[in-house]
Amino acid sequence: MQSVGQFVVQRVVRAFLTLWLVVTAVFFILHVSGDPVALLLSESAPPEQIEALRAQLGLDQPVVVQYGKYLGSVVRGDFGKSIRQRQPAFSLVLDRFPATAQLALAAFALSTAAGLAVGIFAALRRGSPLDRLAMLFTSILQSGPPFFIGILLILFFSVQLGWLPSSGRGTLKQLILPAVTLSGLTMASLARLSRSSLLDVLRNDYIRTARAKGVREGEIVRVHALRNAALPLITVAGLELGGLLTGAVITETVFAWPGIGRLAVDAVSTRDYPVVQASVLFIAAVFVGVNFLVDCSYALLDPRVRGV
Amino acid sequence: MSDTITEPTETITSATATATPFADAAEPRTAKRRTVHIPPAIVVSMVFLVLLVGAAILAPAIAPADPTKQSLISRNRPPAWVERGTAAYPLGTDNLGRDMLSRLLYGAQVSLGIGVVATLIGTVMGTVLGVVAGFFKGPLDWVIMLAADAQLAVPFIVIAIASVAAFGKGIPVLVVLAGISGWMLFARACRATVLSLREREFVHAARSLGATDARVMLRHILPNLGSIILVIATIDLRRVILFEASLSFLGLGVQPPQPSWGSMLGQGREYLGTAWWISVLPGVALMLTILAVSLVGDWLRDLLDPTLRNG
Amino acid sequence: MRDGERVNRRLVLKGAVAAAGTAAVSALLAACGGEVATTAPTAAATVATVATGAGAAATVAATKPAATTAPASAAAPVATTGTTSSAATSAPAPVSPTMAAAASGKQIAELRVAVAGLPASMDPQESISNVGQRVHYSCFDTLIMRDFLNGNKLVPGLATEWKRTDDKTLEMTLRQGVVWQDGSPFTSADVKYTFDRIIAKDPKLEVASPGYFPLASVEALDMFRVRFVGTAVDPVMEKRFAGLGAQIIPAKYHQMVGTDAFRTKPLGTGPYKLVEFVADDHYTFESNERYWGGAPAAKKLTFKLIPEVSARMAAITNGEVEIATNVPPDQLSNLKGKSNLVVKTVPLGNMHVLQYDMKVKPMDNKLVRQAVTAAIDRKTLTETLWGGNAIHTRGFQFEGEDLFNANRPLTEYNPDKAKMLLKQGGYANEPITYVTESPNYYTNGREAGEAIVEMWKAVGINGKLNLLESAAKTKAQADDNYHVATWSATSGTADPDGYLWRNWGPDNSQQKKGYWAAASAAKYNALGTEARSTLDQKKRFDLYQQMLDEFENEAPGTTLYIPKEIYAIKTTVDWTPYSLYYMDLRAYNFKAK
Repeated sequence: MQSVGQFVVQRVVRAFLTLWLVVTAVFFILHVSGDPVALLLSESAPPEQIEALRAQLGLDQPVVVQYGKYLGSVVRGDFGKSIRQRQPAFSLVLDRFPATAQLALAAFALSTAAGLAVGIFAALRRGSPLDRLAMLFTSILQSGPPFFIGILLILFFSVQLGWLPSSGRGTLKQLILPAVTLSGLTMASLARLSRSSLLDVLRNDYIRTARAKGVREGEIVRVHALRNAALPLITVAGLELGGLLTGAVITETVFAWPGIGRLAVDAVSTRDYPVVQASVLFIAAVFVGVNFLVDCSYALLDPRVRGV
Repeated sequence: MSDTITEPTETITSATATATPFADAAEPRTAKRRTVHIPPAIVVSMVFLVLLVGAAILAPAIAPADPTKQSLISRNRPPAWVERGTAAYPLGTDNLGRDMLSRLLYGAQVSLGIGVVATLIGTVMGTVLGVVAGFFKGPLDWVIMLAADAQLAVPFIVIAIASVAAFGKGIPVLVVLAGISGWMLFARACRATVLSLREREFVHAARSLGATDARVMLRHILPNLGSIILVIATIDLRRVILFEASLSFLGLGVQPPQPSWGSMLGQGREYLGTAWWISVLPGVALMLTILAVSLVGDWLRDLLDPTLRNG
Repeated sequence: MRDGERVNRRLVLKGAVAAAGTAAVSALLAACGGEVATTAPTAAATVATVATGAGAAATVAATKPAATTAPASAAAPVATTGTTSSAATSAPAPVSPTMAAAASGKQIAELRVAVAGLPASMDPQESISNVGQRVHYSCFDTLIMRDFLNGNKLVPGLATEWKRTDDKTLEMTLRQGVVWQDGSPFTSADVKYTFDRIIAKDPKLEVASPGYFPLASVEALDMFRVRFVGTAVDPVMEKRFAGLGAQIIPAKYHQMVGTDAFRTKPLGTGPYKLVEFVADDHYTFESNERYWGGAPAAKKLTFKLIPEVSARMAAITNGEVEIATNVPPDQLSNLKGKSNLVVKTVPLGNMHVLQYDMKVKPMDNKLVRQAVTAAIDRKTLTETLWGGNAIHTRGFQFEGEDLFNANRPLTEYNPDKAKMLLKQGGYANEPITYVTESPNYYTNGREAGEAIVEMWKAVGINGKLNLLESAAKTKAQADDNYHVATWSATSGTADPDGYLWRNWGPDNSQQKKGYWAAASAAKYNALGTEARSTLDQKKRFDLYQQMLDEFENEAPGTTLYIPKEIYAIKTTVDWTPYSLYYMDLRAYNFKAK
């Protein structure tokens, strides 16, 4: 068994290796996918100019050299300038982060609240029609493609009822539809997980003992069961938050939400390499970071984890 | 990303949640056969899936028309039961005047086909890597899990878009991408199970009798992964179908004129306000299918999960 | 809606007549006006079709009587050599956009426009795009302006007068008292700076490529006079200064902030000043109260990016924006009957075309190219897919523009001929790949592609559709990994030179990249060279007609149709769209009600 310190060091090393792998994979895939120079110059630019620009951007060098240079600059925190926007790529990504974070946190709050409520409710009425209904509901939530659900929500709440704005970011009202759309999947998975972990706990001997002692059911759930069911839930909730924070391409596209996900996709389609690399690395770093924190807290709370 | 890719996180959790119980259940082969009570919802789901697969396979025989045949003068016809509808097009036509019913049937072929093949790819890849990682532990395990972590950390849809740009479009690329997008779930779950299995007596016994690594893995460990793989595969099938739909939404999925539910849904979405059937029908087909698969998958998990069984 | 369309077709026809016989314009204006007023549905969902050229003026008379009553003031008679604009002399009391009554109406707090795309750069010369033109037009001015609603007449902009001193030389007198949006004065130095950048052929500027401004030099004669010298005799020189990419940028400011910063922090002389540039989200402008043409009718102007069609339509019906652009024709039925909306439709000075790659078999075979061309049923496409919101053209021509030949037949659909040509050409069922953008760059781009490939199959052409995101399409074209690609041709100067030469001439990518082989293009180029070096309009007309014949004969590509651009507009806003993607939100064309 390791000490907490060793565990943390190991995880940090691993986190950095993960990010290196991400950077490398993205670099090579983008390299195969084409050359941004054609998009930079006007269509009728003569070949000499194309070659000159390629040289200027370093695209005429061997891939390995380009890769080495790129890695070097990433380590120095330099992601290069956006080809399309001509601004530092990393600052473009940072500019988008508040929007993504706002949407993620709203969706997270919504899905945790609703997910736990449904999950606990279903667990306590396990096997009842209400339980089945709740589980069916979560299944349906998980079955719909987000863009389909998003557009249906727009048609109903914006076009039919006129209650909510259809897109954009600015007012709090504009947050509602994208947050609801985005929260669906997370809500469903949290509901299912909270149900099953609560059920796991409720089957334990100490709960039976407590019951036998005549402790009231409400107290059993509050004091014993929920507390013990919380650990896996916190882990998963953390991971879900990490997932939400990494942006939501489809939801952001449907609702014209100016987040990181859309930035990354737009950048891929315009072959804006620096922005793709900066945004993917940023997303990965957030995800890995959240994961790391979850791992650490888990390790602190449950020493067995460190052993495996 | 969250709406397309966080799915992995969610699935992982269900995978890990089930992985532990499975490790116990994996006292394999000795499990008693029991009579199984199948709830009505599951019966309905199964019948639906069987009929669907049948219809997809028989599409060339039962589809009333060629799914790519256009008739621009009959574009955007509603289904027969709606005003302006005609019996010639029972489920209406799309924006190029193609028969919706035929497209849905052929679309089922494509969507389910991609789903099944991609899931198989993910299953095989994930199982092999997961078993190897769990069995050998050490550096190999470390590298495989590192790759899994790395892939989980990036929005796969971005990688997929770049890959489509790099390797071109088409069903083969799509299938491989969809397959690769999910291997980590299998790998993680299999690894966890193998880690516990390899310490079991029956494995030790086989070892002491001189069985090679390969033999132990193939003969003694793999068979015990069957149920967990089955459960994850049902989850993954859902994920893969949604993945195809998401890529199609971005215009990178199945290419016209070939129909798939995802691409029909994605391309018809503009018409939700004017010709709803173009996207609602494939949308409903997609949701019902995923729902049926999920219900069956959940049921399988409950069935194979001993803790719930005893509870 | 349907009634409206019928009226519109008639209107367009009348417009054509008007274009042909310019002397009768005023009479027709009245006639059309009266007719529309009585037959157009009175419901708010009236479709106001605005045609190019004289037809446009007709509709304006019908829908915006106020516009025609504005008195034209001093600068209207312009010293031109009289060789270019046929409309210049005829129309009585023309509306001069620049001189029309300034801000007489009320000002609204904000005008919000939902767009499907925003340009990456606010530099008006960097790249000419549909989404860019729309936004740049509010921030910058050109020396000469084109009066879209009045026969495309050239009217004063930042220049008040211009005259040819010889066939190659144009001298302009600049407007005095104009200030940049930061308060600094506009002078000839700015004009010189702008065009020096173009003459220097900066490869990052699309407008610096040949075909836009064939200029040898630009000279500042004094603070408010400039002299342009062309590289050759140039019959459309004046029109270029009113065309695409002709906006003037500030010399001092541009040098100070640099090219890259200017892309997001532009400064113009135009009616709106950019105050917030949020890439891929929205651009916000404030009104330029010191605008020389009068303060505009909105305090604030925002272009909001809403790429999803459903969301964009929801935004306009829900009152989140006042104008929605790029309304797909199929959405019209949904907007019908919304009492707070007006739908305005304008045929564009832009034609959807296909471009063939002759380097790749079987497109090297002229007969195959002709067959591919003849097998496309453009009439069905415009009538069904577009629901009448696209125009089946008479070859590569824009009705209502100068040098238009109304007797040229409609582009032919002849499947039998196609089959025969394939046979003669020895076509051996080679695949012919049709590439277009996904998601759609051109309205109905994918749908038209799917339909055309089916039409090809019907005559025995082994067509294959390949949908590519735009960067991948560019790459496929660069790699010769395609046969047929979608493209469009914008008539930037309302003259055939603006597209027949700029898009298909020897300086453009078609020929430079060898998609159109040099040998095959030789005759076309010779005709074009002659046409652009004579000032004789009659001769130019004949030469361009021969170029069209040659274009159809060699078939380096083909025309599909002219789409109509559809806008959904709140009834509280009075604004008329033009035949280019420009959104002119100056006081004379945009009023709050």
